[in-house]
Order: sequence, then structure tokens, then C-alpha cells
Amino acid sequence: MSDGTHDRIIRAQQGDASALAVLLRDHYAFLYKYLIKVTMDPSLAEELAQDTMVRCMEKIAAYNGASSFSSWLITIATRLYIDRKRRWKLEMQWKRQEEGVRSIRWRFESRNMEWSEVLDALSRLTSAQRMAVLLKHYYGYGYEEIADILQIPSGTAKSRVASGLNQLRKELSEDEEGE
Amino acid sequence: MKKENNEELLRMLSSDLARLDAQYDDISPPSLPGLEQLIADEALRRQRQSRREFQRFLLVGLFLVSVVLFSLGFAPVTYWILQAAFPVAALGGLTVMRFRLRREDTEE
Repeated sequence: MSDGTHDRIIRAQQGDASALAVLLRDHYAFLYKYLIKVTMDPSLAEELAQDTMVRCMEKIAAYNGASSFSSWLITIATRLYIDRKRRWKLEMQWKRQEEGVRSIRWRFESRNMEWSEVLDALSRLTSAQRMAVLLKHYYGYGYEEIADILQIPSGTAKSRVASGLNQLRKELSEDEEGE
Repeated sequence: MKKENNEELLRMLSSDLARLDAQYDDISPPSLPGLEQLIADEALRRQRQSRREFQRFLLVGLFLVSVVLFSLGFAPVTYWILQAAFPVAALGGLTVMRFRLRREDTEE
């Protein structure tokens, strides 16, 4: 963590609203991009980023520096996403997910970039598997840290990563056979 | 073979996720004045909420104290019976549970 960030966190914890605003602005892109990959839905990612920032404003005094500030934000965002998913009905979730993936796909196509089979397969994983795979293989967290972020036992974190990768492999080989 | 497959899959995954990240490189974070306003609004909302919760707590507390004083004034016998009944019931329950656990242990 840079000295600037550390200094801002301390000032924010002492009630300095402008330090907190700068801190949140500096981490916004990181948070939003994490949520895009987790949710595969840009508008949901934006809503959750906003909710995460509000939660961060409430809880900033409780941040103890045990993990980096960005990891702390990821933890809050992940729990908010899990809570929201629990409240949704299954069909609504599927419909929203489809719309989200279409929107990301459209962004690729509008920039003349190819949408990939890997991302397509990733979007079809359950969100529990997708979060575990992302945290392990893109953000480089260990199983213990993933377990802490997702509030599950580390054995479950490990099995979600493994089943996620297996599912990805299966989807990709099915796609290849279909061609 | 499986290890190589895994490595290939993870390499593809990382590179495609990096491409996905790059799609959103141009997002603009909220403006500083906007964020400061959000922080101020949120602080005000929390202040109002905690004030409301404190008022509710005081009202409930006042209600409970008045019920206790009322019953103490108008039905002291019932009041003291109830006061004694709750701890006795709790202690009785705990004792029964303890005996039952002990019996299960000896049966095993």
C-alpha cells in the first residue's frame, strides 16, 4: 500500500471527508472492473460499486489494515453481491445475467474486437464458481483469503475453483466439438 | 498432459480477462465534489437513522418500565410471582437438559 493511500485512510478514519472521497475515487476503476468480471453485468457492477462505496463510508473506521485496502473493498463488494443474489429469484437472475453478457459482448463488437469463447464459458459458470476462479487465477489470492472473502471454509473455496475450471474446460471442449 | 491443459486454459483465461478489463479502461470515476456530496448525504442519513433508533429505544424502554411499575403498584403479588417464575423455569430447563445429556452419555 502506498504512503499516500495509508495517509488518506488514516485521515478518512478521523473523519476527513475529502480524504475519503479521493480514496474512493482512486479505487473506483479497480472495484468496477472486479465487479464487471464477477457479475458479467455492467449496470449491476455500477450499482454494486456505488453500494460498496456507501458501505465503505460506514465502515471505514473498522478497517484495520490486515489486508490491503483494495482487498477490503473486494470483500465488501463480494458480500454485497452474494446478499443481492440471495434476494433475487432464479429466473430474474438468469435474465439479468443474459442481458449483462449481451451488453459486454456489444462493447467488444462495437470496438471491432472478437468476443472470446473463454469469456462466454466464464459467463455460464455459476457466480460462486466464477468468483472463486477469478479470485484465485486472476487476482492471485490464496485459498484461505478466498475463503475469508466469500465467508466459506477453505476446502469449499478449493473445490469451487477446481469445479469451476473443470466446467470451463468442459464448456470449451463442447464448443470445439460443436464447430 | 492434464497439467499442460490446465496451464493453457489459465493462460487463455488470464489473457481474455485482461482484454475484458481493457474494455473498461476508459470508465470515468465519479467526480470528487460528487463523492464528497455523497459522503455528506450518507453521514446525514446515518445521523438521522441513529437518532430515530435511539428515540425508538427510549420509547420501548419507557413502555417496559411503565408496565413494570404499573404491575408493581396494582398487582404486586403477580409481579413477584412472575419475577420468580422466569429464573426458576430457566434453571429447571437447564437442569433437565443436563440430566438428559448425562443419561445419553451413559447409554452410549
